Amino acid sequence: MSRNAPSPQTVHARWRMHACLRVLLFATPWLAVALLFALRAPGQPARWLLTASGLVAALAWLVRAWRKHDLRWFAGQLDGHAGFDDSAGLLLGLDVPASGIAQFQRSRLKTRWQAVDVGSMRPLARLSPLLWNLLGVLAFAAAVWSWQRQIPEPIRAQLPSALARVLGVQSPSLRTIHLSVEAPTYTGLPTRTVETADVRAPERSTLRWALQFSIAPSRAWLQFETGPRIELRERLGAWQAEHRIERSGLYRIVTEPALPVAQRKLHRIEVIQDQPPQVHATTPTQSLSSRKPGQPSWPLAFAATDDHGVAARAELRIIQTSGEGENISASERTLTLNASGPARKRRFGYVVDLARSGLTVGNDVIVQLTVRDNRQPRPQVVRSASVILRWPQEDVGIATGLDGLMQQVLPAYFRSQRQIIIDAEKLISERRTLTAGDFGKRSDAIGFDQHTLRLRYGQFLGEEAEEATPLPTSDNYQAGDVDAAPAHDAEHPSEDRHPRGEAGSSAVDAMLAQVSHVHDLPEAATLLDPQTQVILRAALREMWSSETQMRLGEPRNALPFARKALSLIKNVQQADRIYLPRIGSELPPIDFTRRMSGKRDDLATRSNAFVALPVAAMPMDALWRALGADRDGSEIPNIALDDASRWLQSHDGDERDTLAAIAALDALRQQPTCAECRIQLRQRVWPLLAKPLAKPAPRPRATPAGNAYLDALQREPAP
Amino acid sequence: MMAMELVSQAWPWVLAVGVLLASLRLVLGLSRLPADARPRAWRTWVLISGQCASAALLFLLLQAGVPSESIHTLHLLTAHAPETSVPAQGAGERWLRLPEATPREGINPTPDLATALRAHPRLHTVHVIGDGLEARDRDAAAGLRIRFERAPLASGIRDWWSPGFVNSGEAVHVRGSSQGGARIELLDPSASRVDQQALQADSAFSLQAASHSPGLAVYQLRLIGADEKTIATTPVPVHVLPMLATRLLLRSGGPDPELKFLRRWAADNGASLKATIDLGAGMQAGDPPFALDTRTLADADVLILDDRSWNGLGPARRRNVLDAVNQGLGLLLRATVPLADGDALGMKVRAASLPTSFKLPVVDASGSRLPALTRPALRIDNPSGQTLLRDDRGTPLAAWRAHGRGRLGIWLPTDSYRLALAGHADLHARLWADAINRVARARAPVPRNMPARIHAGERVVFCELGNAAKILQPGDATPLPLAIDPRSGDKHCAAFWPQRAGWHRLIEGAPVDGKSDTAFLVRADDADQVLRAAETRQATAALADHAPVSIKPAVVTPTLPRWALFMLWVAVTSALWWFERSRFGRVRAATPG
Repeated sequence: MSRNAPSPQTVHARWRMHACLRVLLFATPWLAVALLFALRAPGQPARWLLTASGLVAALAWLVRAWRKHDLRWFAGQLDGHAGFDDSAGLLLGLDVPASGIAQFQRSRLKTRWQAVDVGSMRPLARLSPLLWNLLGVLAFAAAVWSWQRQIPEPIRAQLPSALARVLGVQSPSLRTIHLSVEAPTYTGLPTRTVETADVRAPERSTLRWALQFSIAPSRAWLQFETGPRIELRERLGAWQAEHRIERSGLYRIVTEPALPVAQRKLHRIEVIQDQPPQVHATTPTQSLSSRKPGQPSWPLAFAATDDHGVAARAELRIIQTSGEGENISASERTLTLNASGPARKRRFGYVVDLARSGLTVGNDVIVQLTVRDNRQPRPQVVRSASVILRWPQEDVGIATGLDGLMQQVLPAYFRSQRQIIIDAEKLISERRTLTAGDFGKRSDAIGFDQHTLRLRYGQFLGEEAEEATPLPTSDNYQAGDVDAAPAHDAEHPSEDRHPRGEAGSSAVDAMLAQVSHVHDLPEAATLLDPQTQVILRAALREMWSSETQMRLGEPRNALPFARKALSLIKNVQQADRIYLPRIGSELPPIDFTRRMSGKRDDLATRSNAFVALPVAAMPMDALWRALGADRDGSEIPNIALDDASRWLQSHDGDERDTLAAIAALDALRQQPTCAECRIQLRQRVWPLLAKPLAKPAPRPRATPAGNAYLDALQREPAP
Repeated sequence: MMAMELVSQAWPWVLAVGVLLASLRLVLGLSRLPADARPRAWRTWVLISGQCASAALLFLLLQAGVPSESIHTLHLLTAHAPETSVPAQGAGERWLRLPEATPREGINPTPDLATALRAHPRLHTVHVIGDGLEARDRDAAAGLRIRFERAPLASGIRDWWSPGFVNSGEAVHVRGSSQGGARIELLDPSASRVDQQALQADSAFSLQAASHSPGLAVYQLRLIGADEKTIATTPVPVHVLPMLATRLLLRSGGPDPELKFLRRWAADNGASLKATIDLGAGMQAGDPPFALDTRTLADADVLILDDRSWNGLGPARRRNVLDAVNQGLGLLLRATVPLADGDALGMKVRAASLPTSFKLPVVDASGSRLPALTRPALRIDNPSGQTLLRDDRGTPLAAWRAHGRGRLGIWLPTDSYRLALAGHADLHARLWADAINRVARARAPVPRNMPARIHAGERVVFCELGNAAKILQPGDATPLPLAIDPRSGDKHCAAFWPQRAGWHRLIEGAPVDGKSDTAFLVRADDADQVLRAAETRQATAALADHAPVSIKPAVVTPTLPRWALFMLWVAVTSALWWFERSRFGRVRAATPG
C-alpha cells in the first residue's frame, strides 16, 4: 500500500457508512412503494400511517446499524486477519497499551498498517440479498398495483369466487343480453328477442331484460336518462327486469360494483309510433264532382290503411244542403259501414240514392268517412277529406280574379228596380182611369225613383252623386218573394215605401259598413271586380233609358229597359263579392285634410333599419369544430361537450337524431381517446348543425399577380 | 455521373499529353547522348509515330460505343401491363420493365427510364406498355419518341374535382368522371347519401351537397356498380369557412317589396345593408342617406342601384362610381329600363320583345312548384362578360363582367321576393347570394392553396412558406420543420415527402391572414389507384403526342468492330515495344564489344 494510506479511523468510518448504506438500499424501495401506495389514494389515512411507520422502522434500523458497526466491531473485523495478531484494539486505541510490549506491539502494528491492503480486508458485501429484496419489492408493488386495477376480465372470470372475494377484485361484466320485446296484443306482432341492448320497439311494448353477468353483482338496475330507474332482480340465473315503454329514450345498465367502461355506455330504445290510419276516397277520386243530368245515385268507395289494422266499422257522415241563396240549411245523418278486406287495408262502400234524398238544384251532398284503428287503450280516429257532390246551378257567369281575397256572400241591396217595374206595370194598367196629367205625374215620379236608383248604383262605380239624396237600395227581392216589401216597411215604419230621407241612407250605410266599410267611397269602387263592373255599367245604361222614358210619360216604352236592368242587377247580385281586409296590413288612416293637396309639411324621412334576427350561439358548432377530422390528435374541451349535451337535452328536433347524438357524446366522454367514438359522434352531430341560408360574402382576395392582370386588362382598349 | 462525363471528355487529352510526354522524353534522352552514340533519325521517327498510332487506336477503341450500340427501340413494361404482350426480341429492340410492372420471366428490371437510357445511348423510340410513365420517368422521356400502348383502366373514379373551401351556406359541387360503375353517390359527413346520379355513357358526373357550420367537412364520393356493390370510395374534404360580414349599399328610386325582402335577408345573414329608398321630392325611406363619394364607396363591398338611381346620377357621378368599381367595388344594377352609359359599363341593356313572365330553371328535383316571376322586356348585351342566371328559356337574367379590380353586374328579375313568399326563402337567398357574391369586392382571406390530392410516398411542394414552417404528422407530438429550398427564390417553397396517411397540419410561424395553420389530408399510397393510373396515362399520352419526331443524331459508326480495333492496338503496341528493344537503327559503334 502507499505511504499515505488512510488512517484506521477513516477506514472504519467508510465501512460504517457502507453498512448503513446497505440498510438504506434495503429499506428505500419498500418506502417508495409505500409512498406510492399512499399517494394513489391520498384520502386514506391508514396508508399514510403505514408509510410513516415504515419510515420510523427504517430509521430505527439505520440507527441500530450505525451503533452495531462501532470501533469494537471494526477491531473484531481487523482481528480476523492474521496480520493484526488479535490486537487491533491497540492500534485503534481501544485498549490502552499497559506495558512496553503492548506499546511495541502498537508501533509494530502502526508500521504494518502502512503495508496492509485495507480493501482486501473489507467484509464481503453480498449482492444477492439486495437483489432478492428488490425482487420482493417489485412483487409487492405489482400486487399493490393489481389491487388498484381491475384484473382483466378473462382472468377474473376464471378466478374461484372465494379467492376473488378475498382479493376484492370481483367486478361483474355483462356476458349476455336477452331483450324480449312484447308488442301490444292489438298489433298482432310476435314477441321477439334480441341479443343487444339497443332496440326498436312498437309503442307501449313491454320489454323484458334478462342479463347474465360474469360475477353476480350485489345490485343492478337500468338507469334511464330521463326517467325511471328499474331494478334488476336475479331469477333463474339471470337478472331480469320488465318495463313498458311509452317514448324513446336512452338507458344505461348500472351495477354495483361497476361494469367495465366499455359496457357502461348508453343504450337506445326507439319507439315506433303507431301511425294513425290513412283514409281516402277511391270513388270518386276528386273531392268535388257535379251531378250529371239524370244521375240517380252516387256510388262511394273509401280505402283505409293502417300499420296495425283498421277497425271493421266506420262512420259515414252525410250532410245535405237544401235551400237557395242565403236561406240554406243543412241536414246531417250518420251511418255505420262495415268493411271488407284485410285488417290493414279496409275498403268501405256506400251508394247515395239521390232521388230519395231529395237533392235539389244548387245544393250539395257532402260525405265524410270516419275510421279508427285498433290501438289500445285509445284508438286513433281519422276523418277523411270531404267528398262533395254538387248539383250545379245554371251558369251565372261568376267573376273570377283575386280569389284569395274574396269571400262570396249574397247580400241583397237591390230591390227597387223590381218595384219600379211593378209600379210601372200598375200605372199602365190604371192608365184608362187616370187623366193624362196624373198619368204623366206618376210616370215622372217613377222616373225620379229610377233616377235616384241609378245614382245609387252609380256610386258603386265611382260616379259622383248628382244630388245629396241617397236612395234606399234593398233590392232583396226574390222570385215569388212578394211580401218582402211589408217586411221592409216593418224595418222603417215611419217611412214611405221609397224613403228619400237620410234614415234609409244611413241604414244602408250601416249595413254596408258591417261587411265592408268602404263601399261609398268613390275610390273604393275598384272593389268590384271588372266583370261585375261591366254588368253594373250595362244595368246603369238600361236604367238611364228607362228613366228617360218614364220622365217622358212613356212607362210602356220604359218597361223593357227596366226589365233588362233588373235582370242585369240580378246577375250583379249573384256575382257580388265582399272584399275583406287582409290580416296584418293595418294601414294608417288617411289624412283627408292634406290628401291630394301637395302639402308636405311635417313629413320626415322614415328610417327603419332592419333589425337582424338574434342569433343564439350554437354549441354544436363549437363541438363540430373541435371534432374536426384534422384534430383527431387533440382533446375535446369539456366545456364544448357540456354545452352540446345541454343543448341536446333541450333540443326538440328529430328524436332519433338527438338520441343518437346524446349516446355518441356519452360514449366519447367515457373513452376520450376512442377514435371510433369520435367518428360516430361526428356523424351524429352533422345532421344537427344549422343549415344556413346562402349568405352574402366578399370574394376571395386576389393575388398580386391577379391584381396586376386585372389592372393590365383594364388598360387594354376595348375591342 | 459528372465525374464520368469529365473522364470521357478528358480521354483524348490524356492520351495526347501522354504521347507528347513520351515523345519529349525520347527526344530529351537522345539529345543527352553523345552525338556518336545516337541512333539513326528514322528509328526515332518510327518510335514517335508508333506511339501516336497506338494512342490513336486506343482512342478509337475507347470511343467506340458499348456492344448494345445497335439497340434503338425499348419496350418498357409499366404498371398493369397486360400479360398478353409477349416479348419478341427483334433486332435492335429490347424489353425491360420498370419497378411498377409485375415481374415477368425473361424481362429484366430497370430502376427507372434514365438508367435504361444510359445503358442504351442510341435509343430513340420507347414503346411504353401499361399505365404509362410515373413522374419520375417523365423528364427522362422528353426528347424520345414514345409509343404508348394503354392497358385497360380498372373500374373506379377516374377524376374528381371539388372546391377546397366554401363559405358556410354555399353549396358544395363535386364534379368528375368515372370508369365503369352504374351510379355515383355523394355522402355527407354523417355518411348519409345527399345526392346521386346514374352514370351515362360519358361517365361524367356533377353532384352537390349543402354545407353547414364552419369547420372541416369530409364528404365522400361512392361509385356503385350495377350489382349494387361499392366499387370505390374516396373522401372529399371541404373546409367550410366562417363568413366575413359584407358591407352593402343600396339606392333605389322607389320603394318595392323586392327591397324589403332583400334587406330582410341581408340583415338576417350578417351583412350590413345601408339602404336609401327615394320616395320622391327629397323624401327617403330606409337608412340615413349616404353620399356616393370615393370614401364611402371604398368602404363598401357591393353597391346596388336600380335604373332610376343609376340613370339619375349624372355622368360625373356615374364616372365616380365606375372609378370605385375599378378599385374593387362591386356594382349590381337592377334594370327595368335601358341603362345610361352602357359604353362605360361595357354591357348594355336593350329593349327586346321578350315574354315578361318566367320561371326559374328547376334547381333541384324536389318537385316543388316555383312561382312564376317577372322580368322586364330587356336583353343584356354583355360581349365581354359572363351570364350568372338564365330563365327557363335560357335568356340571361343576370350577367356580370370584370371592370378593373371590381365587377359590374346587371340584374333583371323584379319580383324574386315571390319565392320567399311561396316558401322558397332558401332559393331567394341563394339567388341573391349568387349575384352579390359574384360581384362583391375581393377581400376575403383565402386559405392556403394546397394540392388537391396528396398521397403518401409522393413528393409534394408547398410554397409561400414562412421560415419557421413545420408539419405535424398524425400521431406525432412534435412538428417536423420544413427546409426552404433556396433555389425556389421568392416563392419560398419546401418539399415534403409524406410517409403516413392521415390528417397532417402545416404550421407556420407567424399567422398571416389567419393562414397560420392548414390541415391537409394525405391519402394512403394505395388509395385512388384508378385516378392515379388515369393521371399517369394522361401525362404519358401527352408525352407521346408532343415528343419530337426528330431522332437523336446517331453516334458515328466506326469502320471496324471493337475486337478488330483491340487486336490492332495490341499488335501495334507490342510491335512498338519489340522495336524499341530491338537493335534496328542503333549505332553499332556504341555497343560495347
